[in-house]
Amino acid sequence: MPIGNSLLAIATVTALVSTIGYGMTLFNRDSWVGLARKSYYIFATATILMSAYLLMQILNHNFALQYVYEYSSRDLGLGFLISTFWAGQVGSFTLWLLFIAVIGVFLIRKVTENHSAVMFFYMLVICFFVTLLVVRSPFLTWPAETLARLPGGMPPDGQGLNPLLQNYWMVIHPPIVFIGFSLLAVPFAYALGALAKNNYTDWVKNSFPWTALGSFFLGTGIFLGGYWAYETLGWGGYWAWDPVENTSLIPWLLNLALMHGLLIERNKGAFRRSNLLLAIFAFLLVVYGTFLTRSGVLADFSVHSFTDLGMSGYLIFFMGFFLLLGTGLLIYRARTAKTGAGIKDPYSVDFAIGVGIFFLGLLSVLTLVGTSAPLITRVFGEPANVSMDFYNATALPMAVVLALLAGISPFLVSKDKTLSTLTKRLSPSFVLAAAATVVSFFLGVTQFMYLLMIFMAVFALFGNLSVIFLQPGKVGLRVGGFVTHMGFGVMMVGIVVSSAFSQTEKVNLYSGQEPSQSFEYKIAYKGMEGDIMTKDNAVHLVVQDGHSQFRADPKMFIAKENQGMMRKPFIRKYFLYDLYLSPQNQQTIGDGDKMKLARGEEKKVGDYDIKFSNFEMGNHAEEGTMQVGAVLEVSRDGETHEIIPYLAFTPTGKQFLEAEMPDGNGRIILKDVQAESGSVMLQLSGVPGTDVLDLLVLEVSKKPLINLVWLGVLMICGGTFVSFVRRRRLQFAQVHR
Amino acid sequence: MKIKIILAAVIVLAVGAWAFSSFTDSMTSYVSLAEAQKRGAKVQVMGEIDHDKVSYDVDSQILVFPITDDEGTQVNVKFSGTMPGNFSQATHAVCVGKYEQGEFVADQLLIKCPSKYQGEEI
Repeated sequence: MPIGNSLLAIATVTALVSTIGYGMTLFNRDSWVGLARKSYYIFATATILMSAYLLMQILNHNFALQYVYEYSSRDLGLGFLISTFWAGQVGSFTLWLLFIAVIGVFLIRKVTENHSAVMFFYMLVICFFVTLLVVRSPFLTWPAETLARLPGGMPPDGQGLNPLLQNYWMVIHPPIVFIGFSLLAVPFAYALGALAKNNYTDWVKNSFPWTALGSFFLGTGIFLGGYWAYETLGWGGYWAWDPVENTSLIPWLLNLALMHGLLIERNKGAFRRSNLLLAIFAFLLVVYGTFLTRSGVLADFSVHSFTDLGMSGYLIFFMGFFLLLGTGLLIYRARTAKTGAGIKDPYSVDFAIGVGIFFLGLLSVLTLVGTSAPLITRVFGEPANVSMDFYNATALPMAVVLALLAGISPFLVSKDKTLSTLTKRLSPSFVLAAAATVVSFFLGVTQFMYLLMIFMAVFALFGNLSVIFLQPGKVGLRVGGFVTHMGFGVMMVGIVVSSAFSQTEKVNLYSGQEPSQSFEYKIAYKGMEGDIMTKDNAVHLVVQDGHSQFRADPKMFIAKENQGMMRKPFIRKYFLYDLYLSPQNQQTIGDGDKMKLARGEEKKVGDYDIKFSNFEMGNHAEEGTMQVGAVLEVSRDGETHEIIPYLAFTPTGKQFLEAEMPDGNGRIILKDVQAESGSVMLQLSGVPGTDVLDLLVLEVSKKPLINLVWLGVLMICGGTFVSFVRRRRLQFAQVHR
Repeated sequence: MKIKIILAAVIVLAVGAWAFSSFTDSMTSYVSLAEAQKRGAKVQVMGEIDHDKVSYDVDSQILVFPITDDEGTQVNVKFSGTMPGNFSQATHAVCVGKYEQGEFVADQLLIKCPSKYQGEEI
């Protein structure tokens, strides 16, 4: 039995044993723990080895494996070759399982109150992924008889990596998202463990660092995906509310809500049940998202949905299973898990956080409804999809409220707050926000929602900034939250301004001609590097922006792997905006240098009239050779001359005997003869007037303040990471106290 | 406590109503070509592209091509904008738009290519 499947079998068996072992502890059979732990370590080792083995097969080009054949090829560099590991569904599930197994090693070594119960639920998640791999193993080989037919015992080369994924961002983006998804399984397991044991004493402090780390990885993954889209897809945007994007956004939002809820539960002992609910649903939505995007149910509605590999049934089963398990336990413990504590003071930071959680949840639900629209509407009749307008219309008001809360909450913490001190402390950020809004209005922002968003975003930015600066030395690692909230404000300003004021126009550029004007730029097209079928073919442009001139080489080519047009825009970053040049299309204009003439037909080319009057059969042909000529009457300025190009069919192939034009300007070649229609195919070479024009359609866009989106994103990710470090220390400090 | 619940309910209802109206506004039904002709509203259709009858005007950048759906209805689709890069390899097109004056004016095209990423046999 091959090594890969043997390792998979070992992982499967040990995962089951470990699950059963931890399951027995739920019935107070604590002696099973030892077996369960040992099995887990064997499972984790087998999973790591299995992944390493799969990677080895990819690096060694073992195309006898279907997965390796379908996603990689010999011409890939090391980085891309490694990334083919997760280019396909099965491989991405393997990677996912690997992360969960490794995270589990950290989890199993930290024995907490409900340890065995937590591990049991974590093992259920592992069983889910193991099942998927058993259903469709990454180590599936081609049938032996197929391989036996092939020289070398395997296909000579693989089908190659989807060219869209041949990008450095795509090498790191999927693993980071999968780490984020995997981390969400930890709070899920802690929540279910606490519910099963009805013991909630340390679930908050133990799941907090994991939640923060999950937010960091998932957030970073989502943002990398957006940056990749902007930088390489050439459609000019970074977020399309596509199902694949949404199904990673929703768990992230719920996870952020959970982070805030845990804060309140820790400080005030409130919000326990909603936290358990959030922890469960953040993970459930990962499973639901996996179902939506991998089962093919949305195939008609998304560009990058995966196709069904016969896993839909299993995905539905697990979704239902985890849903029933999670909600069932929550309802069963609804009474005992109740904290009783409430948030009474509407001016407290906890109240503001509670409202924030509520709106984060609402935003998740709305996004979920939109993403599931094809499924929901199918129930009522014909399936329908919602456009991006739905998301934009619903998400923007939510973002306004969230920014308002982010701007106020830092001031609600202090003990000495009264309405008057609060007003005084809020007034600087209020004034700055109002100023920014007025400036935006005069710069041309007129829509009410946009102005409101800009106001709130700037309000959040300066509110959090002033807290950092007004309490020097006292902020410490709490700075993470403030920076994240500032980043949110910065990002929203960037999103609103860049989407509302992005200017785009298309220009038609002809190679070698005068530059065309687009905005304040003069753009000249200097031809393409190779032809359109050449990989990474560059389009040479020279751009003049008033004082300087620079070369721009966006890329455009048809990928051999999927015959799709690949476009890589050229982006020049200015302080206030990005110039975004995206080639759309390239074609040759004019009839070109080929023409088809029937007997007696006459066509005009440049200054010439060319008439095909008759065939001439060659009479001096060698044996086995047939020669035919086309008698052409070429007229120019009333003068007519006769020329005869010949075509010879020899045993070795065609031979062309070209004829020079009467005035010596170029030649005519007889390319083909169609006896039944009595016509000839001619190629004119170097004849004046037969030039073809090389046309490039270029999309030129100016995207103002788009860099604020990336800056805000970096601040959000960085801030979340600092929060993780802080929570990790707090957890650590308490354990060893 | 009661006030809070009422307040939350009001917000949920308001947001729900707002979301529902945006939802129905931005919804595009997935219908047959015959149905699209009847309705004249914004819908989503899918059909097989007849590559022999594709025309593309470079200067105005208008792409016109006929599609035929499962029921056999044929309609000309008009799309203003750049021809999608993989158009010539596409078998089917999903078009979002409206049926107007004898043709389907699409403002969004989704091209379906015969994917080789579907476990092709060797």
